[in-house]
Amino acid sequence: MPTDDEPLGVDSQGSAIRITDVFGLGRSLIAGRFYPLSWLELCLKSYFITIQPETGALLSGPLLGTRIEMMSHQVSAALKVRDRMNGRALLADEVGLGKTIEACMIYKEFALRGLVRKTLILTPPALVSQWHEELRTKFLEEFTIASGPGRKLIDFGSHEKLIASIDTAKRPGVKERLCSVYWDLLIVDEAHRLKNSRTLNYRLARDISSTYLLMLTATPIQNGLAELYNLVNLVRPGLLGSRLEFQSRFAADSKGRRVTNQLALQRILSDVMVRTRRKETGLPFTRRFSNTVRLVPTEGEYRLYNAVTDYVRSLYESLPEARRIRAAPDVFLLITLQRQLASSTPAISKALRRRMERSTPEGAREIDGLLKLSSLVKEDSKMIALKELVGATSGKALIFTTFLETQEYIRASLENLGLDVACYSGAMDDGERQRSLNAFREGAKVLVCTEAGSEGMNLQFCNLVVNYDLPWNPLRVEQRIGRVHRIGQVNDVYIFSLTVRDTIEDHILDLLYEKIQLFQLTIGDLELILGDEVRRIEPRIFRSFMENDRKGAKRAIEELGLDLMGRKRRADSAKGRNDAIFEAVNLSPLEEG
Amino acid sequence: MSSDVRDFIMGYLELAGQEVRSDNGCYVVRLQSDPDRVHAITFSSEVARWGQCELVALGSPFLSGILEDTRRRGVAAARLPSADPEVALSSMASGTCRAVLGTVEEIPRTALKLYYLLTYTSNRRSQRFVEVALDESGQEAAWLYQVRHYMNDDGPKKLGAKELEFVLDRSTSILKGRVDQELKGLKDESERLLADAVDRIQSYYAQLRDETRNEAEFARSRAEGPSPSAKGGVARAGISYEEAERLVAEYDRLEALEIGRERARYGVRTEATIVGVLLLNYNVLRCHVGLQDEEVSREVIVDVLPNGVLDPQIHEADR
Repeated sequence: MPTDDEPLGVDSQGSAIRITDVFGLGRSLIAGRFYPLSWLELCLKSYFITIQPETGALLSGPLLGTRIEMMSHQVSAALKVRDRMNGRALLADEVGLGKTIEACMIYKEFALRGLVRKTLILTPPALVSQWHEELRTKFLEEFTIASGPGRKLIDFGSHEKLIASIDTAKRPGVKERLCSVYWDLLIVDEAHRLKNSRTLNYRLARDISSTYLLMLTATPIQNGLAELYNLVNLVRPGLLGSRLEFQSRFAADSKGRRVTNQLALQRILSDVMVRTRRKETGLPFTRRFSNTVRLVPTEGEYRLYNAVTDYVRSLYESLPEARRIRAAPDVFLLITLQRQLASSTPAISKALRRRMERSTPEGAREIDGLLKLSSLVKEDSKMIALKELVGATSGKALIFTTFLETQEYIRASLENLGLDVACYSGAMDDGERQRSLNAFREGAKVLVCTEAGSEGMNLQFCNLVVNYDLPWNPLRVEQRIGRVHRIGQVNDVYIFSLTVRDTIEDHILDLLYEKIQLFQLTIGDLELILGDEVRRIEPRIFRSFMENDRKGAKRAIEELGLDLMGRKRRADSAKGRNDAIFEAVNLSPLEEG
Repeated sequence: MSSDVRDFIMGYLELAGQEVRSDNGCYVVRLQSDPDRVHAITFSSEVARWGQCELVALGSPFLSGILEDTRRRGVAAARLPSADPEVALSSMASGTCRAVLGTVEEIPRTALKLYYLLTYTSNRRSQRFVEVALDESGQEAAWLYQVRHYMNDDGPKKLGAKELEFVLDRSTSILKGRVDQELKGLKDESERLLADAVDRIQSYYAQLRDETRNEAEFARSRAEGPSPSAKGGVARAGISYEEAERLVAEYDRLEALEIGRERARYGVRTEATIVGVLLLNYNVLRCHVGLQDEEVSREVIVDVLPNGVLDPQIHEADR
């Protein structure tokens, strides 16, 4: 009997014909397990539904149309990649036009057609979870994350749909295993990280074999045309000839920052590259207005903040040096404690109580003193401000916090005002979350949300975001705003961030986020600016505060702010170079109909 | 498309005896396989967009589950009704020759109809259905391709593993013959694309090797005499012969790797998935027929198949 993977027979031209029995019909026949004729008829009909013409509309269209807003530039790009690029393409839409969705649409299309099973997605470490969630919630696709913080490296052999960070994938031992598989589809997000052909990133992508390849970047050119050459060479080796030939044919200056023979370049690139510009889409791109509500702490809040910060500092100082430098779990726990302090009094109180249960009698006495201070804070200044803010707005408000205790505190406080409040968190199951979203869409004035599990939400009907507490990771801030400020939002978006003066969050907001105008940046912008630095920001901020006095800490944050400003300038220049070059080389799928 | 899906799902629910309630385009279904769960489904994008129903379309988990369940049930047995021998034999009469039916003997036979989904995959994919009908001796039973009406059969039916293996083996041979013809067009296209890709890769690496060796030559001549002018405004660094040879070897490796990948990409793979099996029981009517004209009379034996066609072999009856 053939199994579902056993090749049988060879045709006269030497090609193997594999006979498969995926549903064990042969076994049923031998066992005498027969069904009425009508089942056989229905069974054959089931295949007629799934056999589709090779071209035509996207098979995934009807399903995805109810889950995501499919933009015409995304559909055109997906069709072009499917029908004219043999599934190998550089997706280089400008920032904010939904390249991830575009790539997922192509993946889904190929998967439904049975062309793709083994799929590997390589992303920057900070975007691994986001890809996982987008695929799960919007495309109903369950991918496995190869590894990550707190995760063991999984066995690659038993998973056909993998997401791995580029850093994990290039590790010795991992790379060899990934390269030993012939993948149906390889997706590389933020592919500008492969710009240099001498780097491990580039070699990783070059050495992984795949039938189809999608590389995503808004800035295929960082410094000059040579980087575009390298990326295209991965998609279709040799298409642009040798590097020397390419440079002499298309670079108008020695650095390759200006292009000549635009039409010839356009003709060649149009076989492998799609780039839609914002202005071509006709989509409304609304603005963001950021407001900081900087509050003066009450006496009780001031004393609690200083006492807990001193306590956290003493814990930090008691750590061995080696565990302070690396992003060790101890440090993350202390960062969390510090952030709970800034989040709300209920959040820090609960964290302290939990800590007390595990403490020595001496440690418990110290914590007890802190808890006494916390009990003196009757209502957080931020809560008073929030009530005023929500009371003054006529529309709906999306309020973010990182912690469940704070979420509950906000819910209870706003409900006491008689407001209709819905909650959404990673602790809920899918059904509860859906009911909360429906409640917010249909009636509730406020949705109080934690970041966990919120990646797939589309809340364009709301245009007011409140950061009740502030993530130290800029990517998290953008992910919050991105829930409402995305394609499909027709109103300007207002963002309010609540901080208490002279706290760490206050300095982060003042010296870091406002310097780089964080609230104006999209996730693509942030990736371009921060790159892998994004993972280091949180511990860097924390160390600045733990190892310096207040002035020194502010100085350190200021330095970090200057560093990010420099990065932002470089990213802006790179964007400018891409804009200039692709103004002349048009690769929009829209204009081809 | 969506009406096909709706017909299919409704057909499934009816056959499976599932209870369905409908309300404004939303259907509430409880499946036997998962009785604790209530599914709210719809076939309308509009209803799905605004309501709380799951759209049943390609790729939706509900449809995938139903497809899988249905596809496990693609094994059936049927009985073919026998033909009327008088009608079948009328074709034997011609001119003055008459065919007179004598005794009729029923000989039980079994045949198998296998339904395959043929999938050709290279960088693209095409699929089509193929039926292969075999009698119990493993011969292709071409007459069965025209038969479309079956009766449910409750009689005994079972096929041993060895018999099945034999029949599958035979059906594979028949499939191969058909695949060969169909593959030609697809292979021609794939081979053209492969040739283009290999050409591109070979000329690219040939160019790289030339340039590398030129660079080494440039470095050598620069070391020996005045510097030649750079070509095309491109800065030329020059490299050592050893470095050039190392690079050339690396280009050779990459060229082989890339060409191998292109071959894998454009090679045509053929897969035949068994998607349905129909075991057919029927009787061959062995008829004793008297052929008579004005001068001669003979008795012959002919077999009448269920479709009314006479088995071409006519045997003379013993006298």
